[in-house]
Amino acid sequence: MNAWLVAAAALLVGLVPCLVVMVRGSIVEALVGLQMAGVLETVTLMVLAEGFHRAPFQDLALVLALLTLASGLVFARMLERWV
Amino acid sequence: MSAAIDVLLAIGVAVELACCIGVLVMGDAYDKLHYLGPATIVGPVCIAAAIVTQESLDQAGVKSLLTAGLLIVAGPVLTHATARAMSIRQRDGEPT
Amino acid sequence: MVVWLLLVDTIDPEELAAGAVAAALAATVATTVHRRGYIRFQPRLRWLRHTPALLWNVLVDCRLLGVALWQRVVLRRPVTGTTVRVPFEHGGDTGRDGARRALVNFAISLTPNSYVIDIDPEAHSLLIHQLVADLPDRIPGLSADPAP
Repeated sequence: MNAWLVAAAALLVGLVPCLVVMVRGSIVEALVGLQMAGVLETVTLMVLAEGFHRAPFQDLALVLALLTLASGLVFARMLERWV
Repeated sequence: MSAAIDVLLAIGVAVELACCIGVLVMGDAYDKLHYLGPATIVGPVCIAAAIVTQESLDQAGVKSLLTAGLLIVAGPVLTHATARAMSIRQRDGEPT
Repeated sequence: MVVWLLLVDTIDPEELAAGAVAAALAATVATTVHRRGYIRFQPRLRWLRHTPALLWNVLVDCRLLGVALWQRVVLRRPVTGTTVRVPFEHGGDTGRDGARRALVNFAISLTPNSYVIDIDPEAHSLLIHQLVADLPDRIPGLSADPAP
């Protein structure tokens, strides 16, 4: 156990408020919670990569950051008129 | 140097968790959206700085900087897109 | 090509070749999109002079949001954002005006206390949401270069 893994565990706790917002909030509030969760998980993967000393795990964080951006834009566009 | 890494890590984690609480407790979606800002700027920058301090500019350090840069660019784009979607739904009388 | 080399962290000939092919593909797509006029984006270099003020505003706004969160969670006071409409010269369909609209939108939305909801071309205004009511002249980019 090192400081990075402790930090990752602490970051995972942040998923709980995001989940509450996604379940109990309105549809747009749920999207905000989803985006927040995406950002949180990207940062968690960065920290986990360092905690496990696996540099290739940083690729996961980079790809998740890209997917969070793309998916957030798609959901926002869909919410404008089609949902 | 280990102290600097721990401090940067602690600040990054604290900012991320505070933003999650902000998203939970603030009123409507417009108010919640503001807390995506520090979560996509301060948190990733602090954590990327901690990784670069630990690893210097090798593969892990460079990728963490790229990831942080991507999040910094993504944050305002997502915030504006979500706010605009909510504004359009309100204008059209759709539930928000 | 630079991003490719940063990601693979090696200068083996195979990686250089693959990076060159990827860069060529990306450049071809970018040139095609630009020639067809799908995206007109021609920023001015001198707009970068606003960057230090923008970075400072980001830090100040983080503090504002922290205080708002403290008021909401610890002091149990309601915190409600406000929507403000500020004058903004919309400009035309040129690359310069498009870049100015995009970068002003980005700069305002980058600062955590404010973000742009919509740009109104007929009313020549920006609709901005702020969590903590703040001075409009702290909003970056609105006192920038006048439209040509």
